[in-house]
Amino acid sequence: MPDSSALYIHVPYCKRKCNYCDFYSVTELDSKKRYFDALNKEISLYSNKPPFALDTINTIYLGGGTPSLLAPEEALLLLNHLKWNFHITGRVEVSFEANPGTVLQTNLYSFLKAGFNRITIGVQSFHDGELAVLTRIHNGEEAINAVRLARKAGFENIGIDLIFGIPGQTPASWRESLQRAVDLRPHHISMYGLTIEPHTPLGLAIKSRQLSRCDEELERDMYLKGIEVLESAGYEHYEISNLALQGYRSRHNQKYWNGNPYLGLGPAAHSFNGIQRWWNCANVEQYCQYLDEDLLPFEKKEQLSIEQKCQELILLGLRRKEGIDLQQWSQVASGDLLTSAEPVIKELGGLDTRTLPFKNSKHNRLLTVLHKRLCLTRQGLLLYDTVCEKLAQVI
Amino acid sequence: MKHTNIRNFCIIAHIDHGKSTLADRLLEATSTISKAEMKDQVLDSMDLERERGITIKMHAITMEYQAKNGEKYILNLIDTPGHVDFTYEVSRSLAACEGALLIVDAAQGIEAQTVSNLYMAIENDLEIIPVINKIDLPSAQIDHVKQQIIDIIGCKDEEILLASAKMGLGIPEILEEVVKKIPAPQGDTEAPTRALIFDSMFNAYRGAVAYIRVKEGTIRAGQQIRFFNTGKVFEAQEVGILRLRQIKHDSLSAGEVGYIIAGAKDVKDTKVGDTITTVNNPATEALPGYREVKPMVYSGLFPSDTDQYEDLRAALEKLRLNDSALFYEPETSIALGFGFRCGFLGLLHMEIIQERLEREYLLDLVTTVPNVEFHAFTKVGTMVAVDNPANLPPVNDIEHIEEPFITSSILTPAEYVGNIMALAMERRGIYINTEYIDKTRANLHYEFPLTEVIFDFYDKLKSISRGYASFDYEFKDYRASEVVRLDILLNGDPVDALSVIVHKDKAYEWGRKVCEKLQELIPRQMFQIAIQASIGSKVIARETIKALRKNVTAKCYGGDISRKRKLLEKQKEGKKRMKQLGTVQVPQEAFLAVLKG
Repeated sequence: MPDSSALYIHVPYCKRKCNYCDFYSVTELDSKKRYFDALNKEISLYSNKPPFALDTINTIYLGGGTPSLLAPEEALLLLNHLKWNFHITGRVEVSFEANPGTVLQTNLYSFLKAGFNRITIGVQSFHDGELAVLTRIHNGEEAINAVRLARKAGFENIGIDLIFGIPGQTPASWRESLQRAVDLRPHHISMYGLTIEPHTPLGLAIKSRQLSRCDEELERDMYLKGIEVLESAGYEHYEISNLALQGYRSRHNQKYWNGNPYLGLGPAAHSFNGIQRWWNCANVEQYCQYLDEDLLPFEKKEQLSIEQKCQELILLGLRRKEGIDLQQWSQVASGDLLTSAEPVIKELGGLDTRTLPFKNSKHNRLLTVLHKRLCLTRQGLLLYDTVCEKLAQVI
Repeated sequence: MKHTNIRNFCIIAHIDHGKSTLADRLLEATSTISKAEMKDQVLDSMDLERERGITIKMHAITMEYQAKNGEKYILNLIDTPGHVDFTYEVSRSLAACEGALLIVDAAQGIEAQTVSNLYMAIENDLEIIPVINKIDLPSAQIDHVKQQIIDIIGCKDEEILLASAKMGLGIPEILEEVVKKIPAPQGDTEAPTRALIFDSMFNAYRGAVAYIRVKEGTIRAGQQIRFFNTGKVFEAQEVGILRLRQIKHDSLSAGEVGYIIAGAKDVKDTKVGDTITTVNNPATEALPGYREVKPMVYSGLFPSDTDQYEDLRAALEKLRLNDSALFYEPETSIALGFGFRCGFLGLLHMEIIQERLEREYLLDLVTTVPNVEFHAFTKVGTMVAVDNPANLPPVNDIEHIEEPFITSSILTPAEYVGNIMALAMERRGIYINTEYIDKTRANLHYEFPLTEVIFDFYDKLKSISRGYASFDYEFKDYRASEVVRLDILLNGDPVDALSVIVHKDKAYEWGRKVCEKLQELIPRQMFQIAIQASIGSKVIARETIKALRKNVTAKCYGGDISRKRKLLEKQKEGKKRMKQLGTVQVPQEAFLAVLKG
């Protein structure tokens, strides 16, 4: 069943840049007007180009940066412009990311009125000390308030992000954050192990030993604890870092993992049309210049070979509870994955078909097969990168 | 040409002291090669070699020189290999001459290798003509270098010539001095024939070409000749002299220098130092000084891509054609697969061969730690020559082990003597004596176990003397020594390619270093990896690589997919450079890093 396509819009502005953040954003808001003009131009250019001109679109996602920094009228104009240019039909999921430090009740209500029906709030932690380590612009109480305000404003699909593995974080403080999250009962919870990118201020602080990296064993325990607490609170673990109440998975993000086409607009945004991937230049000024000249602002485009498609089936498939679709694999790779990967699977400890995807394998195995899909077990989740690496070697 | 008008000489110089430039000037001055040909030579060398089967590399060259006294002379300039591993080849080249130009850089002064070669020349009764080169350099210290030369060879001040090969200064004076000072060759052209092979090379079209100095008698084209040490008889298909090309002559007789082609398929048949005689006028005794050239240093060479094994064999075969000192035989390693155990004259020889294999034959190699040949004496009274640690007999069977020793001289500015003595002590050096060449330069004589100098000794020496000390060595003898085999184990399994034979006092340090290096370089895997160094069953060092417990990319959204996919591609590429040892994957860099000490 072919799914509709997705639109992603990158809003490259932040009040302040967090020390761990690896996304493209700037803190100077002067270029915002120019950015919007350019963005509208980009939307118009793509509206004439297949496949996105013809595809139906049913998810829109404003990411950043900090989309909640937009004035409500800017957000409204943007959505209208998108609706005018693309086939946005059916039950559309329209999400935006919000920073608890930028949220005011009036704003949220305006976003809802403008057509946004899903908010994802960058809580990260409810612990003030941890938020300070991450140089977030908000504290724990503001985070709690942001969720309450979203609910009050009328949002019926609220997601929050949490981070574990923060330098100085303890199992107790993580459990506390998890409990706070469960008490607030958002519809969706993402919990990310802190990724330390070497060139970020956090990466440098760790390199120079100003901060110390969370112990691997501790981080592992936190991850497992997170799954355990949230599952027992009724959340479904459907992707490595994502859990949701029944019916509230992120439809937009699932498109990335399912291999659906998506069009990314704005500086540094990535796109995929089913065959090619391309990405825009990560620089507002350059982005605007391209569009001033009516040029598409992409920096690089790559055509996927069969081998690369297979690599993506592995790396995306294993992230999902649904795993790698073996029939789809056979079509793309013209061969049977379980057969060609047999020695590798053996090296990884073999299959445990009595364990459900993402669940604990009593035999401590990493992989399982369910309904002709190759999936990770809980133990496999912990070693996702290793499993990907080994499986990709059989291609 | 009368013998009285022949001069055979060579040039003794340190690398970079201007030997080739000076040789070029001599060729120009005698109109042996024009300036234009000099350039052509470089440009055409490949085609020339291929099409006409001549060699451009100057093994020896004949010049005609009109001296000031009005007489015409034949000057044969014989090349000497330029480095420490080829001492024996140098000695044979010297044996083919009656005189030598000693070239010393006006700024650098005399170096250890030059001194050794100079002494060798003096032992061979060669007439020495000292020349200070590069006198045009601003940093030239002519008086100082003069004094060094006088101190070493005891000549008179006015006997030392001054030159700048680069500027063309002093060249006529050198030529005149060669004619005046170097004696004409002796030797009866009718006596039983004896010719010395001082060099040989392989030509794809003509087989082995031997470069010879006829000492007595005459060799004529078409004659049956016999190689003394191999005992083989060949027909002298062609003899001649060496100009830019080989020039055919009917014969070569006593005193003359030239080439001989005898249809030998391999340079193994034309060994440097061997004596050629003729079947119809045979000599009863070979010329003195021949010895079998034996490898001193051994190392395993393995293709990093196992598919390249046959390519490696073919490349070694080709190199071997021209290099009779290169030894190789197939070796199988559990860790590295199929490869070759190779023997070299020394470390530099080893490096040259490895570099040529990689550059000229485009092979990607993994090499094992070089080792010398140990002699293991068993309790039942046999001797086992061990050129590979894997072949050391079981400890319980061994009565004792001997290792090769060298005598060496280290020439250094006096201020570094302390540093060098400390280094020598660290390397188990046995102090013999110190000669002061002048007030500022000392020549330290040491005996070392060869194994101690084949491993980064030269680099260390250079670094503790700011590049000024130079080093020269020669094999001395085998001596009993307390060496042990040190094995490296990964999760209990020994890695054969990492085993070494070391002195027992150094085993711990070596083991610890290797374990640390491996711990750094072996990526973490799904299980714990124990790295151990052991002597027999006794573990002397250990490191642990912890098992991967959590290895998961937290976020993978629209913008992350290409990056993650590229990482997988990179890892797949990296996997090709991994060696699977039991359950453990070891990157090839680990084997190379161990080499760096």
